[in-house]
Amino acid sequence: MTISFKGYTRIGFAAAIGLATSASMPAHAQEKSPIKIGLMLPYKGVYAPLAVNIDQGFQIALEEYGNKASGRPIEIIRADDELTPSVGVQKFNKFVQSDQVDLVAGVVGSNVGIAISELADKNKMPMVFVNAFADEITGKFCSPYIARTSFSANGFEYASGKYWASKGVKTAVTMGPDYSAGRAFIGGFKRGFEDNGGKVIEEIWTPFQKTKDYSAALTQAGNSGAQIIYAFYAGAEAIQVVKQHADFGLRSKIPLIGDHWVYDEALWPALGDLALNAQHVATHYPGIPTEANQKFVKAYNAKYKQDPDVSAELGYDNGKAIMLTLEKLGGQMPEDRTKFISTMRDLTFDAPRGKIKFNAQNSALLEKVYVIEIVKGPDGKMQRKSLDQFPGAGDLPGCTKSF
Amino acid sequence: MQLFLIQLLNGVQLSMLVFLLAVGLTLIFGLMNILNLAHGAFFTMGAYFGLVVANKTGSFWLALLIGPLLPFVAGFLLQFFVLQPLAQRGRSTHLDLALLTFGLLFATAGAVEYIYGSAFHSIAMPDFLKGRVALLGIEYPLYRLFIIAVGIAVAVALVLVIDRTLVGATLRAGVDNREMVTALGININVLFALVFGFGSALAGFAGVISAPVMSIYSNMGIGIVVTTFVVVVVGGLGNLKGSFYASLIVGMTDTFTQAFLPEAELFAIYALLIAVMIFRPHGLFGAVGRVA
Repeated sequence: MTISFKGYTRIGFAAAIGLATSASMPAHAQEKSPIKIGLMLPYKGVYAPLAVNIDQGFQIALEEYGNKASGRPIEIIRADDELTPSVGVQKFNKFVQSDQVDLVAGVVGSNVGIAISELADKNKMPMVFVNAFADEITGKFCSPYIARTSFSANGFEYASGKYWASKGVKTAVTMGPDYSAGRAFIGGFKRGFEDNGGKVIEEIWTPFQKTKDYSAALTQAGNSGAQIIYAFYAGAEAIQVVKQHADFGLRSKIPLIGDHWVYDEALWPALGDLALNAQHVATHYPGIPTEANQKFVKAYNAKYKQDPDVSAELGYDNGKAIMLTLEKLGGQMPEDRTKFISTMRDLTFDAPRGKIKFNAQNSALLEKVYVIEIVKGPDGKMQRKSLDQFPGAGDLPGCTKSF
Repeated sequence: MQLFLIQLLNGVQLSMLVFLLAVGLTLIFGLMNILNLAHGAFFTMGAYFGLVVANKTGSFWLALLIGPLLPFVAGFLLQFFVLQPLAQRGRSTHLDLALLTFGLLFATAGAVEYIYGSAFHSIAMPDFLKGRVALLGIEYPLYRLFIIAVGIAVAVALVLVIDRTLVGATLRAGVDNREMVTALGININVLFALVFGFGSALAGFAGVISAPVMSIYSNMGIGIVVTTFVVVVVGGLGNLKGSFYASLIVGMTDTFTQAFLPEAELFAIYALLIAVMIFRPHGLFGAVGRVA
């Protein structure tokens, strides 16, 4: 009897599978089963650059613990929500049903966050948001299964609006993408700005993810007669807005002020000199002289050969909060999973951005907001100069449940 | 008044970009009856190839010249070796080809993302186009005026070629009566592939020329396809002049709703599309009845 080539490969396959299983079997028996974390981020689309850095920061946090919580290995299962609520819902269901994860982390877009918050509540699945800043997420849609390790839009932008009003800015025109997070961020700024004597004379909204050319919006803003444009944009949209703002010669006429996403370090290569001398508010920059931050910046640089940006820091906070909670729970997901979230709520820890504490609705608070100017350093490279700092504001009320 | 004038210029500039994309598409549709959703892929290809050239040579002009070559070759090959044989085997209904080219659009975006990642790139504009011009009391970016000029130049050149040359006559004949053209001894397969390649090259050209004001990224071609199709339908399938006017209508609609009625921006051009489909199904400028 001759064995065909096909036969040989088949035998080879069977042998390989046999070897693999026999080799892994004993190891499996000794090691504890892993804790599965579903990490959902928009790896595609306008926020893709943010997703990559969040993922990297998340990994730094896990590596601090050797990827183990109380001896149990951590397994990350990734999913791409494509910044689209329907896709996010689908991926969340996959996490719950087929991957059977212990908890879900990540989520950048508030649109996806809002779609998922109800699902998390229904499925009793702990959901630890990394960004998803819209106030409703820990307000109207609050749940004992939901926590957010970053901060709320109001916490960040109310404080920012108050700051600029205190610096003699009387009038502003706002620009933002027309979706939940854009509305939340600009809304926060407007409240803080107007409560402190400023006046928003015009609000300009651009369709989210659809706008490529901001000339129409920028022309409106340039003609509004306001002292500043206050903008909330991130990723590709931010590049477009900053560039076109300069193209129309508005830099000398009406400065574009925003937050750390508009002038994100990840965008510096694309922005070139346009980022120079720009002022913005930030929740983190690599030069913060605290021990927690220096340690993080060093670890991040060692692994990725670059400084962490704001997104990387938020990813780190997300991972760190999860690891601290798991350690506290002895590496076990409690039977009643609300306990996981309530354990997280009781944490206080030194994050690179400052001390992190949670409020009663499981949303982390901002200890400090920094005012940054981007300047040219002695080595000719761009770097940040801290101009000022002030505490973040509280969250908006809206949560009617108690837990 | 000033504001209106600037928005008018913004509208024309957007229209010209859309025209560069739509004109190739309308030629392809008119001549070959192919619903080519891959047009956005050629837009992306041209932009990235232009980026590679610009990074190597540091020259915007070389990027603008060489960038469209890749989509030209890719378009030619696609038509000659894939779409044409499919048509000969009878697999060329609109749905078949729409699915095939739709897949190609996403495959290209995925491939680009695999190679270049999801970062955003830009091609620097030449120094002398960097400034602004004072026009009737307003300042307008020179580069945007350059886009307008190029768009008009391409439109005029195309009209001249199609109306006044033998190639143009053959193309017009091909749109009207394909069998007759073949019977006259013209190799219609090569002609079709050339036109397909040329249309793709124009899309690539639009990709490079828009790079300094917009960004280059992997998904750039996906969103633009819809707008381009609206132009093709409004202008009338296969109608060159129609697509020019339709580009202006769509560009203006988009710019002016964004400026003065932002709530309506997302659906304004679709409302326009629906209205045209109801009242003038062959397009505003479509002369001969030809049902898509």
